[in-house]
Amino acid sequence: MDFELSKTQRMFKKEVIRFAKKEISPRVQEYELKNEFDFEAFKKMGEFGLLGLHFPEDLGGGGADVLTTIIAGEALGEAGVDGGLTLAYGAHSFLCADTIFCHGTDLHRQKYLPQLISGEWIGCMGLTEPDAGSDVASMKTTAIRDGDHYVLNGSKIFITNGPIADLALVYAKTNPEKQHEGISTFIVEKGTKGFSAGAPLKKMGMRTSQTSELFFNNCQIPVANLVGQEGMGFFYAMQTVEWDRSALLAPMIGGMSYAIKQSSDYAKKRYQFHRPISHFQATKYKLANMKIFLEAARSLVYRIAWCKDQGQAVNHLEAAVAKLFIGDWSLNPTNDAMLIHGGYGYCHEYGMEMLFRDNRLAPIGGGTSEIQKKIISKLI
Amino acid sequence: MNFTFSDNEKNLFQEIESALTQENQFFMPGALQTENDVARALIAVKQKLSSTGYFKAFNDSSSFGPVATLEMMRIFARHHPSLFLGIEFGYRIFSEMHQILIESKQSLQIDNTLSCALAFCENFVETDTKQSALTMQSMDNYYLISGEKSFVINAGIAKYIAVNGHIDGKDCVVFISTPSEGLEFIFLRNKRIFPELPIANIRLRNCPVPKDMVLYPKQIHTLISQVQYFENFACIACALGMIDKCIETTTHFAKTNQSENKPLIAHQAVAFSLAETVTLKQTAELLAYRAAWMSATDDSEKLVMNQCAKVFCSEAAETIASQCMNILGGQVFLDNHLVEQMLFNAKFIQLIGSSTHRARIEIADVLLK
Repeated sequence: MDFELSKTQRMFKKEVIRFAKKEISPRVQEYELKNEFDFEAFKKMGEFGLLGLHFPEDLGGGGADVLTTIIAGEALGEAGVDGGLTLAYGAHSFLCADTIFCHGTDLHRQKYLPQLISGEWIGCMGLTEPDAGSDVASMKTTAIRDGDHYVLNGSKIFITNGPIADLALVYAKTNPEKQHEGISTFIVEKGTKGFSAGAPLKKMGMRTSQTSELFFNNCQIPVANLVGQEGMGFFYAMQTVEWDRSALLAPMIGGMSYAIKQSSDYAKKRYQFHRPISHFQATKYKLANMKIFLEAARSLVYRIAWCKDQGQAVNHLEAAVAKLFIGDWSLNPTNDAMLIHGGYGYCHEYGMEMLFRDNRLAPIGGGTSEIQKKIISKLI
Repeated sequence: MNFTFSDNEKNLFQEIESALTQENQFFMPGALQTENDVARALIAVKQKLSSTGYFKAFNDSSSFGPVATLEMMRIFARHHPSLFLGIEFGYRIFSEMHQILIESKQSLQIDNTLSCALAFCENFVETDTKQSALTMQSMDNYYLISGEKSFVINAGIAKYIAVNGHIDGKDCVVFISTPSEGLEFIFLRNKRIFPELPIANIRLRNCPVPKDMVLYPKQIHTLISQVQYFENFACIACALGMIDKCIETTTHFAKTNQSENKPLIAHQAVAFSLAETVTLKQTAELLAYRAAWMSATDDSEKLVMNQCAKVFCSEAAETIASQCMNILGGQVFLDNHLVEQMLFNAKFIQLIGSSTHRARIEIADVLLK
């Protein structure tokens, strides 16, 4: 076994941190308080090459391996970039663009990926429905073939980037009689007749990412917008799991590094009872627990990335373990980070309450902790 | 990066399994009744494992490397946690300490292939060299040593006992051969932890020790922390081995026993609880592998990683044992059930080496620098 990052990867991580600290982090608080998406920061991420890091260079990507891509996500978190922006990045690059890259036609790739990679366009993925969350097969949205078109009807909910997306990758039933094998995947462009997005949902955390419903009302899309094969949609959605369990979790790992640094700095400066609170063992315990969580979680995420780099088929057990651990076990250390800051931790200025709120999504989004436990227990 | 073991390493693990299976007579319940039984078993197992490279130092360039070594240790701990700790504390850790002393130009005229016990703890309190109440009176060519030490693993079967203390205001480590005049063992007979492992408090009353058996390491704290570093790896491997056995036993039980006309594992509460144990196990082992791998690097974080892994693995072992007990039910309280035993053992391995309390403080101290 070998856990060494290459020199290039280490240098790249430093570069991303430097970029994010200069171009993104100073704007986080402002946009978080406004509940607005930071389009400028997103565009700069595109210019820096983050949005298409793992795509081939001929499509405008960076040609990086998965591990390097994961490290970039970690670096964003470590630089203090909020969970909302990194979630938007994840939904855009991995859940939307990567599926087009893996299963779309050459025409799809040429038409959409350069715009998505540059950040000119924003993408989203529409899978969850009001009555179909963890139970994907019970989705009601249909896509019925009518000559050269499919006609979409139904709605989606909790769609990250929904209100701002130029392109939605939508999962719908082409055969409503079937369960998982009746699901197919489609590209729906903004402005298509019959397609609309709801108003941004008001959320506890991840506030800079815009989340909404998507509505399809006799929405006609060309047959050419079918991604891959009919009936394979569930399989494609499950392939994003590898990204869900690595790239989308990586910023949370970085966020924990950020929280440790902020909390340590604060504890050294904050005096109570004539000494810094860092001298109290209760504070040290919290910091140590944050560090232990960080190192444990980091190994899990790197492993998924490494497996993907090796071209290994997704190991559902290992992916679910990573998601469950980070989802459930991250709640205490983020709470500790806030508690170290005391009353200031409860206020927006220090960023810890934002981290606390953002991380509440970890056991819910991208497959709840209960679903992970179900997967793991089936595979034991 | 590489998250897999090589074929050579996998073959090695198979070899360890086979070697341990051949010594199965020592692993049967009730096979180790006395200190002599344990001493015989330790020697037999040591001989068996020696040919596999099991005892090569963590960073020996001719070894399979620290990660593979840790995995070998885990396999042994899975078979017999008590004998495993006996072997580790009696041979590997002493051998590593011997090496550290040699590297710091301290010569010690003892055979490091013989088993040794470490007696650094007083009054059941963690090692604090400044607080040592051990007294040493200088005679012609020997010292007379008096004092008490507690929780000495391998007491009564080790050929040497390494004791720390002060002479003339200087920190020292004294190697007492056994038996020795003035050396008394008070065995902890009814302990709930590692039942077959001989653990005793020792009492020294004017115990004579030749002066060439006393070493004055320049940095006793460094020596002790390096010893604790290797003790921590023993605890980590022990935790992983016990976790394996515990989950294996409980999963088998949940699959082969029924409640309300379906296997226990078909009940969501049981299945989810097992899923949590598997999650902790996988996380613990990856963290442990990374900590071991880092031991062979110059990374300044290797001590912190060792402590993170020690805390996480030993506490995961306790959590897992507790959750498995809920699934297994009342049977765990009968006949020294291995899962009940693991709960106690897990608590003990949280205390030895760097205790989880001390480890957390030291982890935080590094973060706060």
